[in-house]
Amino acid sequence: MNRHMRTYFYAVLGAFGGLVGSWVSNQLGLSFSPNIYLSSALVGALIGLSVGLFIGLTEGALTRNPVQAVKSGLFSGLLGLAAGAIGLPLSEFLFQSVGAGIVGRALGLGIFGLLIGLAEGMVGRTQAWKGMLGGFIGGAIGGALLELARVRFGTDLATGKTVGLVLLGACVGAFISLIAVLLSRAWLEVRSGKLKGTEFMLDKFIAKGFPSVAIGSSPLKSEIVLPDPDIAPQHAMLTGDGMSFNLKDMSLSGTFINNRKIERVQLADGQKIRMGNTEMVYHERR
Amino acid sequence: MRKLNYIVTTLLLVAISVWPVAAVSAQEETPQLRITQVDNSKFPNVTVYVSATNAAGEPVGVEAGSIQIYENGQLMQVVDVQGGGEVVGQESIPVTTMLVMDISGSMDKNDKISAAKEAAKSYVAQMRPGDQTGLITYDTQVYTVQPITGDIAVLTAAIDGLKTGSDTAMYNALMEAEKALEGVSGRKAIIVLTDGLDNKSQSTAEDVINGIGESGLTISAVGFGDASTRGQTGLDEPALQFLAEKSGGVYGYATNAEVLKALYQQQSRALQSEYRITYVSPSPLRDGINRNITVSLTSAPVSAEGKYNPGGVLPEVSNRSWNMFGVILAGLLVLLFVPILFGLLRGAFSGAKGSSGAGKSSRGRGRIKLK
Repeated sequence: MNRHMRTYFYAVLGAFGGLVGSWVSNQLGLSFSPNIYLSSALVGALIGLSVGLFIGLTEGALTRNPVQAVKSGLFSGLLGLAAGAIGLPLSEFLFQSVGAGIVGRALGLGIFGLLIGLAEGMVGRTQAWKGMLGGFIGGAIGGALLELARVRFGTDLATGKTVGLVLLGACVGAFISLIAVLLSRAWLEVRSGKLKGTEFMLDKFIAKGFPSVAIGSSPLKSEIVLPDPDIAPQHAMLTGDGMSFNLKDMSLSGTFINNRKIERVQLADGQKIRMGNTEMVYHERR
Repeated sequence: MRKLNYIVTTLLLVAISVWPVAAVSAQEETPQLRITQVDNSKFPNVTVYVSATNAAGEPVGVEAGSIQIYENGQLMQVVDVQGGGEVVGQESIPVTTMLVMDISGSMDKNDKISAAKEAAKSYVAQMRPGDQTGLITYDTQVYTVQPITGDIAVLTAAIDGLKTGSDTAMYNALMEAEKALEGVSGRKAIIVLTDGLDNKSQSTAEDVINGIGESGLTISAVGFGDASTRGQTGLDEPALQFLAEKSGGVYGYATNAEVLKALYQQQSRALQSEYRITYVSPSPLRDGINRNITVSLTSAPVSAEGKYNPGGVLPEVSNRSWNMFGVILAGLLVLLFVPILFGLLRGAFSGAKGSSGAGKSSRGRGRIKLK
């Protein structure tokens, strides 16, 4: 699966999150509490939970790692819940402050998306600000389209809102993935096996002092999981030094760089890594 | 016959003598309507405060039954109208006012601080039972001198104790005043006095306007100084007018103690003569769409415009059908599964094609290495 398809699935699953969030919001409305900010906090929390849950599931689903999918989904859902509970009342305030309209919807939902994006960026393997940027762009587009469709085409609010939230979820997902891909400094591309085409973003682990991450076949023991019976549960360790990565072999069967068995090596851009029957290429951008 | 002529002549003379006065009087008393505050904190109940004054800003009596209110052009059924005050011999609506006063160093010049104290005390003296007032002052800092109270004596003593300080942080003080009025319901007003430019606030005029909550309030600004001078000693009249205009308040300018006192007293009379009109919005959903309000009188061709937003950046909708959800869900499922299916088919096809080739050799190579 190449990076375009990765972004595509992030967008589709984000859209699912937005759709479920929109359904929940339609059922609850905003008048169940006399205070609109209180109502917004609950509705925002549930939308954030939904979008977060679906986006969190994506990475695990793409890398066929159900443990990561569940863990990330729940964690990301909870962070989305918190972000939504803060984000929607804040966006309501901004919306009213700028006098509503297209600018108000775009800015308001942009901030809502930004906070959900921040939460997802913290969970995903990318720095938080990339998620924030993606979330803001997604929310702003969704909000502007909602109002534009209503004003220009007389689209009823229910349709506009559902489409707007689906777009918001899709854009949050897509931009988180897209920006993570476009701005990533280091990633592993799988060239063979079941995950052929999959890219593991390594940016989050590159910082000096960040705990080493394991590459292996066990979802319980490794962060980067390769479904290959010839790979040990914990096959090798990746350690960031701020600019690049060191790779340390921990297996019996060995880890190969450009067909040479290694014990420990500093990775360089374009090097081919082989573990078991799986080949990967390390990419680095400075 | 002579008697009839006498009566007709007398009636004509009376009519001629009275007519010009009556015409002028009617002209003078034709009110100017202004929507001062829209409170939608209990939406779909909407409460609109309306001021009816003459050209000089003095309250004019209006028959409550002649007030009509429209939302987005649709005539509303008024649930309740109150107010009008002494002008029409009715009860006044209670008003909560925050007096925000400049105590910067420049207020010492020409003893402006004494004039300001007198004006504020004259405002407080006009309070009626039910009215409440608070006092916030500012120089570089903001000081809550007297929290909101209905006790005139306490307020008067607080005003008497004011002393001048240094620079001017008016917008910070206004933000503080808004915060103090946040939990207060009903008609709320801020009357801010300044004699110079704001040079110390972190907040801006826009922040102040944005800080007005959904229950609304008015900010009336009183400039006390020399409007022709720009600079540290002059007034930023455009900013004061902006605050007043955006919040539904009025701007007044005074150059001496008498005019200043008169402005405060007029503000008090105008606030005490406002009308409070409540109606139920026919569109009870918080859809985030601005609603236009028009208030007019059946007795005179005058009207005032206002607007409010019920909130709902993510709009509340009435249509909760499953159709839209189902259609989009189906579309997303197709988008999700088509590439997966395509990938599986492509994998199966390439697997069959190379079943004895690269795949097998690759697996074989791995096993040999393990052995």
